[in-house]
Amino acid sequence: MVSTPVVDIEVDPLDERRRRRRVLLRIGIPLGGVALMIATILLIAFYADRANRDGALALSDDLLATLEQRIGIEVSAYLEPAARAVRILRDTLHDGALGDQLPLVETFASSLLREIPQIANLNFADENGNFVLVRGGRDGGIDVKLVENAPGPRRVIWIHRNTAGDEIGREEDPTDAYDPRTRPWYVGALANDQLFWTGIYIFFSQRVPGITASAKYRDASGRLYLFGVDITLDALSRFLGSLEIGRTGRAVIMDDTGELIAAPTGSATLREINQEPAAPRVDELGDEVLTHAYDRFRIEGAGHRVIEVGGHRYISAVTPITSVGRNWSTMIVVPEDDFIGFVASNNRKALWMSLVIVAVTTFLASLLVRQGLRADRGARLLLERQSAITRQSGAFASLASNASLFDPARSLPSRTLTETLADVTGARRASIWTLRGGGRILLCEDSFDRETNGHVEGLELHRDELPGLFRHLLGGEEIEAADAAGDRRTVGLNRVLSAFGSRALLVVPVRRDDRVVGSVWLEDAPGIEGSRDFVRAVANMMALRIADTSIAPVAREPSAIAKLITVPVDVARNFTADLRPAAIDPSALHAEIFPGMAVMVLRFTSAVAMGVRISGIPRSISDEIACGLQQIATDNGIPYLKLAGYEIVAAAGFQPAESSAATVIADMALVVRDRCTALFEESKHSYEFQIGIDCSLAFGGAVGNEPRVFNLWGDAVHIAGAMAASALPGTVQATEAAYQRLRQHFLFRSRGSFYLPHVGEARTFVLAGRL
Amino acid sequence: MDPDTPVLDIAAARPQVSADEARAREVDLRLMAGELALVDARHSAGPTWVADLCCGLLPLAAGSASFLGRDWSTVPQHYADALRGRIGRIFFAGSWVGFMDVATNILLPQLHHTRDDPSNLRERAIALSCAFGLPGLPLVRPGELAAGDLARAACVRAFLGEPMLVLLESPVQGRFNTLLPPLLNALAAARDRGAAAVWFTFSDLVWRDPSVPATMRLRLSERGLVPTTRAA
Repeated sequence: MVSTPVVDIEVDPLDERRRRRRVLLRIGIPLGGVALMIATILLIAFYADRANRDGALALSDDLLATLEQRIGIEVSAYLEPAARAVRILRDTLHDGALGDQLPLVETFASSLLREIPQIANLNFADENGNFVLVRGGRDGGIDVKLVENAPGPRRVIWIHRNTAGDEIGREEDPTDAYDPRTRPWYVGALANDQLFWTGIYIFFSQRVPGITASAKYRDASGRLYLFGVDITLDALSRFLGSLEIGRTGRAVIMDDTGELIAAPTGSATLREINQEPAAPRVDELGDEVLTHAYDRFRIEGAGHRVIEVGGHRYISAVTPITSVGRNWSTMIVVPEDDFIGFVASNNRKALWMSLVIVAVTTFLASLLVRQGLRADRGARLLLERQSAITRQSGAFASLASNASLFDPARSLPSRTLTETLADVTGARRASIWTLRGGGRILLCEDSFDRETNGHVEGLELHRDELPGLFRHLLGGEEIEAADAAGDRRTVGLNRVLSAFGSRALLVVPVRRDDRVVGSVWLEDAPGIEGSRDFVRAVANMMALRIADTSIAPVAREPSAIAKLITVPVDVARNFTADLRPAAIDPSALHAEIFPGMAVMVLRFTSAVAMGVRISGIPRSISDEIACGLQQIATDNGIPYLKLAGYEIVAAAGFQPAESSAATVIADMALVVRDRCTALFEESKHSYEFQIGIDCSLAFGGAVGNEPRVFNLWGDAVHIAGAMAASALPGTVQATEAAYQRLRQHFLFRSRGSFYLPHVGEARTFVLAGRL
Repeated sequence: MDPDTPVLDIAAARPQVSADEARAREVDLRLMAGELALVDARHSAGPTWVADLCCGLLPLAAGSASFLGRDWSTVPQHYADALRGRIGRIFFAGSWVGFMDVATNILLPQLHHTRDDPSNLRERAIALSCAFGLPGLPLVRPGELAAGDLARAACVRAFLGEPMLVLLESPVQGRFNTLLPPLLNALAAARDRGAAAVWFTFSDLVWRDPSVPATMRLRLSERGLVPTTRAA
């Protein structure tokens, strides 16, 4: 029986394909709709994100441009007055030696220092190294440093004046070695005809960083004068620090070499070169973002761009400052999120809100899927129900047309009923039982098995065996057990059901006059709900038939099959398979063991051939052969020779030292083969005989009453019989054991290697002749 | 399966032929459960093409062929393979896999098509082997087995797995006395179970043997299958 096929061919593949397609549509369309919605939402979110982001970036560009303008204006406003001051000084003080115009210088410088607070010092120098420095003094006064370098000896004098211009102190500083001609502002101005801006350097007198705007003037005599205005950059740094560029953006001012002019951190960014503080380059600040922006600036020039550093995007803007300074530029860096972070945040929120919509839609889609599948299932059940109703109607019509089915006088009426029940309900087995013996015995009138298409009757169940079942049944209870073995009402019944491989059980009582007279059983009935009423109706109809017979006492003997089923049968021990010489306990046996027995079995395959008369002799072939065998046995001392039915068994080797037993048996087999061949040829029959021999263990002993008969059994007899049964007609087939013992003196032909029942792998041989 | 559904239903089926094979062969064969069609193939080139047609292995130019109510031309390939798993066949050409032993040859189709316990399959194969006159399940390669034993093994392979259709392409092949009785027994058991069978024979002995319980007799000719009688 094909119990578990890999592909169930009972299912129509086209129906299955249609069902799968329908399920796919039922599930696929709603899920596809949800997927489409999710894709659309994601697409919209993506588009909105891009559009908002681009818009925000455009806005940020405007913002940055405005900021750059503001920085430029602020820087110009900070530095331009100093530049104008230099030009005014140059135009005002261009005549005469510095010393001659010192009062004017002081007055002019004092005024400038007051009016332009970012000016730290005013410097005046000539080509001889004479130098005047004016700077803010204590309490609103001024300090004047006068370096007289030539003509005459060098003198450095500090003059201190109060706000009224009165001298309040004067001292010389012979240690001061200041020479203006070596200073950056002097050197730069000397090389330029226009206004010159230094880079950041440390002012000699105040030791603070700053820049100087300077210019030169050469008088009519060719004498050179230089004017400079020192500006500290603290204010500019403070201004840069005060700018709010996004949340964490920053701006710096640098020159074309990348040297920092001003930064929000002020002088904290200064480095040391030759133990002197100096302004660092942008890429020396340790700020990766500024370095990256500066590198891009060096490659691509000024402008706005988006850079990515450490996985974060930044907007960088570099714009030249044209009004002041020497090729200065402002550089702004600000994280992109500072400007467009709100876009991403809003988009995330919108996406979460969309997900709520998706969840609701998914829920609705799942409802739709469920509803669709339920509708399909409902339609299928409806079709099955309709089919069941049609079958039941047909069955009712069939039963109604044969009213004698319910006639108690009929001997075998139930067969049609059980077949109808099984057919309509699809049950594996359908049975009709009647209660006999005052409710002590359930007798199976008929049981129909759909798989084997067979009927069984006469099975009896006794109340003593199954008290629970009888109690519920007599109580008129309908018993439905999905697993009869595990149901307390049917416990014990499993012994009967499992013999047929059944699991589920439905028992519908048959009632007459409120008295249970029998029952209808269905085993492994699928979808019984649709057929339950039909089964009940049949049970009611059965009451007509059962009622009379149930009164009668149990008169019949249980049938053979009933006995087989009701009486627990011990599983027959497989003697051949289990028996091993080492495991045999002779004391437990009342039989002799013959370990070296040689057995021959002659088997006739045709009953007719056995009885065929031989021409000229008033004997049959079997008689002739038996006579011949008797003679051979007598001549060769073969002690055991038996004819039973169509088999003759000969055996030798009862004595342990009888080494020639196998040879004797093989010789006998050859003689018998030749004799049989001749006889069958003579009778013009085909060879209707087979011979098998084996040499192995056997048991023997006398059995029966006097005269007792010696009987031989065991492996040797069994296997020799099997060899005979499978031998080719007219041949002698031997086992490998026989072959091993006989091959020195006999000719064998191998038949092949076979897997033998209860033996395993073994070779068999055809005994051809004697050597 | 619906008892009214034929096991094999071939209606006006004409297999596709190549351009140089212009013979128009037509097959009409309808077998219900338990039926046995004995086909006289003595006057034909061979019955293999008809057996292939029954197994759905030949594309049709016209007509239809179905097995157990399933049209070979419409069922999916895997399903057609599964259906063929329910057909037992003795091949005229033997069709043994030479590098496997005969036991594996016998068990392989069932191991492929079912999830049955291999030990149970082997037990059933052993029982069938013994029924067909073999000492047991042959463990040697097909080339090492005698022709008679190989014919018996072919019967075992055909009847293992309780096929619903048995196609016998000259199963006896001269072993009339030794192979016919067990073959008839196996056929009877299969037909009782609801299987149908087609027996192609080249033997006059078989054709005229009254013990062969054919429910219909046909002759295989150049034109295809033609109904006939025993005497014909």
